[in-house]
Amino acid sequence: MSLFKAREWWGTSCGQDEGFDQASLCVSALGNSGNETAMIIVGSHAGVVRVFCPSLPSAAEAPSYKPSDLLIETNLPNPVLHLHVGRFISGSQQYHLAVLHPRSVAIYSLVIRGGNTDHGEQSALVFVYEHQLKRTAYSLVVGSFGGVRGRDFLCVQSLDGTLSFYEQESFVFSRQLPNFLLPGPLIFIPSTDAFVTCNSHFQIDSYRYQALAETSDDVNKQLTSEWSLNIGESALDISCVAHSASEVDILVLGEHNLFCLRDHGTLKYMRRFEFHPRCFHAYRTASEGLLLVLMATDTGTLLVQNNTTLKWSAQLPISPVAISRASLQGMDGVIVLLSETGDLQCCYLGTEPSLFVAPAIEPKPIDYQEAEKELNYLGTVIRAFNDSSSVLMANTAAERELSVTVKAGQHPESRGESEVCYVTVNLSPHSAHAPLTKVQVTLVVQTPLGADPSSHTIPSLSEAYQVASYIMVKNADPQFVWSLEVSVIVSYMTASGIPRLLHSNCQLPLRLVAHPSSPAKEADIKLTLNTNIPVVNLVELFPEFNSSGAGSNILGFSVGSAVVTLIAAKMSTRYRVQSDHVFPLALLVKQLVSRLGHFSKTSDQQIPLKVVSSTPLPLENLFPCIENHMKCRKNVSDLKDELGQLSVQFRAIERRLLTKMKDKKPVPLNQLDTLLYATQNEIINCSRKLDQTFKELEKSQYSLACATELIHTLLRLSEAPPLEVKSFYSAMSPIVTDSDDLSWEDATYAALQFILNANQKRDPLTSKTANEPLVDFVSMKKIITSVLAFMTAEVHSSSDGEGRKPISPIHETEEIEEEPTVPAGSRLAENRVLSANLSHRNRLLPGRPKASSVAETIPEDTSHIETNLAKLSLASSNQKKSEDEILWI
Amino acid sequence: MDPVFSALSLYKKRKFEECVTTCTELLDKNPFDQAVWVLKMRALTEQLYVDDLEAEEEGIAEAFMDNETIAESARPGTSLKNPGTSQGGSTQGYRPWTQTGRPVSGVVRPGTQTARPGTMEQALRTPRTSKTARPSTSQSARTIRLGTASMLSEPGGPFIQLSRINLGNYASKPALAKPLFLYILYHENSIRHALQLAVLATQACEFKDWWWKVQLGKCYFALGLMREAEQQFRSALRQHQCIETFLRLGRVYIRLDQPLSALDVCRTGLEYFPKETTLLTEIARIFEGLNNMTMSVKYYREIVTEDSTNVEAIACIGMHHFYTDQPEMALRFYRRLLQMGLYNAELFNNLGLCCFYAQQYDMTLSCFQHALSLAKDDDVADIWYNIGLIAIGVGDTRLAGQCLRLAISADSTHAPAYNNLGVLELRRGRVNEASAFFQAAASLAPYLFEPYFNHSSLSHKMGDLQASYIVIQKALEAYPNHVPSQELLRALEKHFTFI
Repeated sequence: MSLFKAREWWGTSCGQDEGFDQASLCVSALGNSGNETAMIIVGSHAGVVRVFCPSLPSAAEAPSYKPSDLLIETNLPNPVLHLHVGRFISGSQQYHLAVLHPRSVAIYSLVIRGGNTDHGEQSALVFVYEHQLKRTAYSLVVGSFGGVRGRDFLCVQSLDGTLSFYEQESFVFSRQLPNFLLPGPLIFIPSTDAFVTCNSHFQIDSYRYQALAETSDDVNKQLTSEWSLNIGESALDISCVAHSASEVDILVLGEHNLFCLRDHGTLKYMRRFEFHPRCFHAYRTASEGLLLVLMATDTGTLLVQNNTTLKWSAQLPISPVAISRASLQGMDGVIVLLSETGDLQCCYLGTEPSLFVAPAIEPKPIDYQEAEKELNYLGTVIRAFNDSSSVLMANTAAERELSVTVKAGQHPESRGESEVCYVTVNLSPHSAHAPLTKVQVTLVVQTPLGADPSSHTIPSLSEAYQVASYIMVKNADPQFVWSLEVSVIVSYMTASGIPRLLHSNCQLPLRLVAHPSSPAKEADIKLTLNTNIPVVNLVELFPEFNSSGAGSNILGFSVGSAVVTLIAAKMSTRYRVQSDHVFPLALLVKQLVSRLGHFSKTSDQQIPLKVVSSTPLPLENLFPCIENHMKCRKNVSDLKDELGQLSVQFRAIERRLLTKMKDKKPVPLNQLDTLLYATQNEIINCSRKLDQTFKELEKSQYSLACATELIHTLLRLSEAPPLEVKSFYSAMSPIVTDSDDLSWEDATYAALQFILNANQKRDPLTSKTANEPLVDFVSMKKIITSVLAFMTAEVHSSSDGEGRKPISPIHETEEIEEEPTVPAGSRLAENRVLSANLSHRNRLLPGRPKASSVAETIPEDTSHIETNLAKLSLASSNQKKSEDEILWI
Repeated sequence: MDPVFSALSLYKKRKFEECVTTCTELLDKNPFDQAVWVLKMRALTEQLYVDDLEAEEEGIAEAFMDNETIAESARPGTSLKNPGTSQGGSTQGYRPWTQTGRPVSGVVRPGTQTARPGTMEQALRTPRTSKTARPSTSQSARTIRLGTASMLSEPGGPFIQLSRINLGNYASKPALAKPLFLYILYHENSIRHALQLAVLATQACEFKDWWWKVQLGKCYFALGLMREAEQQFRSALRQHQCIETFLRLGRVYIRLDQPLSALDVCRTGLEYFPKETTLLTEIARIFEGLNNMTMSVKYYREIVTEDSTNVEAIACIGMHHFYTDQPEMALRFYRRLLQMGLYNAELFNNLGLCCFYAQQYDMTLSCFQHALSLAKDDDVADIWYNIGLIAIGVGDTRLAGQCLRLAISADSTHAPAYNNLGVLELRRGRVNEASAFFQAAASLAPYLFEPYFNHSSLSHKMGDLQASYIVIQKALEAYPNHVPSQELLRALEKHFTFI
């Protein structure tokens, strides 16, 4: 990442996949010593040696590669591992090329013959001599070993760590390097006449040539290094730069650091990288004598460093494996790069920044009028979205795109112990051209029913598709099932990317949870339903439960462990549903009503069916469920607290133990381990208990759901105004969910409080709703009875014909049929009439009783009336008690 | 061409996979070739090498099991745990604070993302972000995730069976032991085995090799044994000074929550290695952690003079200028980053904000357009939030509301967006909605004082003095020096005493 870019000056490509690395590039002058122009010599692993001499372009033309820049290209029989230029022929001051092959080192001389024709000069690499190597070579070092002048000697480092020395044409000696495993970079430092390498111990070692020559390979006289420095990482490359006549700087490129050492092996400076270096080249500027390091990183950036300071950074056109600096035809400081694939580039550092310009994202300019129009349109869409009508519109659009049909198998199959019902969902998109994506089908059933799998995902839908799920009762008694409805939610993205949602419903067969059984004559709980049509034969209503023992007016169902009996009256138009258990009643009452409705529709009855419940609301069954549920929740939260405390204790012990363990001197554990085990055991016990309590809580949730649903079912069949019933239903939902912070009771209490406040014409938002968890069962009971009292009171106030209802804006249009035998409402309701009338009157006649005036002025004090109401309604249930006794409420 | 040579050449060219393949072939022929064995080991290690200094993160387990705590409530300015106490630091009024309870940093680093929770329970209960519910786990868990090689199944079983290897045999051969150690540590991630080898090796070389001491310290650090790590690093530094050792010793002190000692170590390091950018960066980060922005920026400036392409330094200086009311200066720094080729949504977002506050309105929207086109899921919410801020600035409340809603739809836990939506609703006179938004914002981000203050002043105006009193105390808890909050509290107290 840099502001600048290295400018390409000259470049070419060498061969195809011939293989190049760090040692494949050599920039030096060949031939006569007077020849100043450097040549770029490249040798590939495929054995091709190329010598380039880039010609300086004339001012007019752009610099580029010309065929005549390639002086020679020779194919040698063996791979070229390393190239060096030096005076390798005795008696000659000319510079020759040393080429290292795996098993030999060969000296070539470049011969240039002047040509007479247009072809220009003709060059040839002439083989001079060759040393055969005993071991496989790794690298080649040349230099004036031993301080000779005017001659260059050769040293070959083999892969096994043997250095073989050749004084030009003759072999001198060979020596094994100590601490050797893998060959590292090796250089020769002329000023100290020493070889510097990085050994496998991550150390930089320096060996005097003298010492190498004198030590023999026998064990007695070990080769010792002149100095060594532990750098703690392996070196990629080493290079030396003369500081002055006597001093040199040794630069070591490590894997993560750059080290600069003095010639006696002490660290001058180092720099840590935040990148991986690829190759480097160090040199000293001629004019100022600055030590500069050119470094190429793996991100393709060229960094120029002086000491530790970054002087320049530029983006490179290629990612190089070898970098060098050349002075070409009088032009100094050309950076020569060689990439792995053989791209050869000569670059210079352009000072004109190549600024990164972010690509434009908007190809065409914005038409402001169009944009405004679009904005206004979108604004209306957004506003319309807030209305509910548009949602309907969207849904009808959704129905045009996809039709969903849900079918439940009417005959449950038994699978193992439980019975399962097969539900299939057919999806048929209307257009085959635009596939719908991310289609998700979710089946929602009320616990304890469960769907398996509960959702299906289809990545793309373009033709009709069918998914199927099993529905079964999960880990519970089927008597707790209170709803047989499956609701299917299909969500998808249209081809234009609009998310859509579709709902569909379906009823599961009653047979999933109920089985025919012999009816029971007597039962604890009896519910009576009145209808306005003649009694229908029960076998006709429930054809699938037609067993031998059933008569036409009595039918038994076994729902789980409970038995429910359905009796149709012989004379009147009444039905009775009875059972010893309260839980399955809701389901069966609902089934009966819906089947009656279905029957009346099919049998062309003139009068619309009307079913009225004439049984008192079984509140006495609801309250124990609530109490039980609250108790279970309290148990759970108690256990959770205990678990929390235990885990705190556990961690504290762990910490103490850790401190003891960390201590240098072993100290006795002081029974801490016993304590740790004991706490762990307690935690396990507690978790087990919690698990158990969760199960109990689940069960209590089921029973609460059933009891609540029964209340709602009966309430729907009573004369209470439908809107009120609806709001009561949404306030006290049969779907019992308990989150960590909020229980069903908390939510219900708050909602009921809201209804009560709204009915009493108080601002429902201003009063404090219960934020803290509700623990008091009695207040829960109180509020349910008060709300129910209100609802039934309205029925009576309207039927009394006393005029406008001040309490609720709902108008009862229907004339309520007063049943002579069983009064509408219950015993409870009868008394509620009284209570409602009380409040009613209070309101109508302000100023007379004290309580009413209070209610009008200070809304906070109306709780007084509430308590009165509660008192009265409760007093009705235990009439014998005097008012004083109940004051504690 | 000799295969060993080509393997070495591939290793130098950082073609580790091919190098490993070549080595495997060689080892199949001659399983006892130590050189090839070491080469393969090094290639495998390099393949997975991560700079573990940069990837460090303190998890819950470390923070909780830390038994090196010296003082529960440290003196002001001496602990990283309560940065608000330092003298002369920036306040929330100028520079917003992050979830971690420290000012927004110029760059996101692993260390800046985790909070130092008070207790284990609090840490476990606090929801993180909308992206993950996972509280940051322990250090070792993270390093395991960083180096997943130990989970990769290799054909023919793992290269080295650590359980079968006799570490004692290798300990005395440094040429084998050092690469083996690195392999165990970085490739296998088995700190226990690595420590075992390091202990044996440092004994074998008679405690003369500083490298082994540093490696021992690394192992101790990873195991959470800070004092032992400190000892090893100190001993290594006595033998040989190395940048990495200074950095690691500094990290030990940071983990021990002794930032001043860490600063000392880094300064000593600077004496040996003047102007070393990694040490300077460390110092700047510590000062930032201590909420001493002026010192932090001073060191970041030193870094820039040394290495003018250091993205972290440029970004942090730019951020500092932005929050000290010099958007023009900040703009120059961020533009430099853009020119250097940094091309991401965050940068364009910052550029857009700088342009806006520097009154270069024509550039603002195009910057945000770029930002949106580049945005990924994690930062799109912030960008919409900032566009909302611009819209509020130019008075287009409709656009502002829509932008803020988009921010919330992208990240449902974006507390500042909730707060601003609340203010917008309040301006439109919808008190209930406004109050709900403030409460939502406050529950999502208890470290922000703005929602509390807004809620409190709203309640005060509505006459709900009790709620106002309760909430304003929370605001002052989040930002004790907020003057309007203090005034409101005083007014309320006066009112209550009057009653």
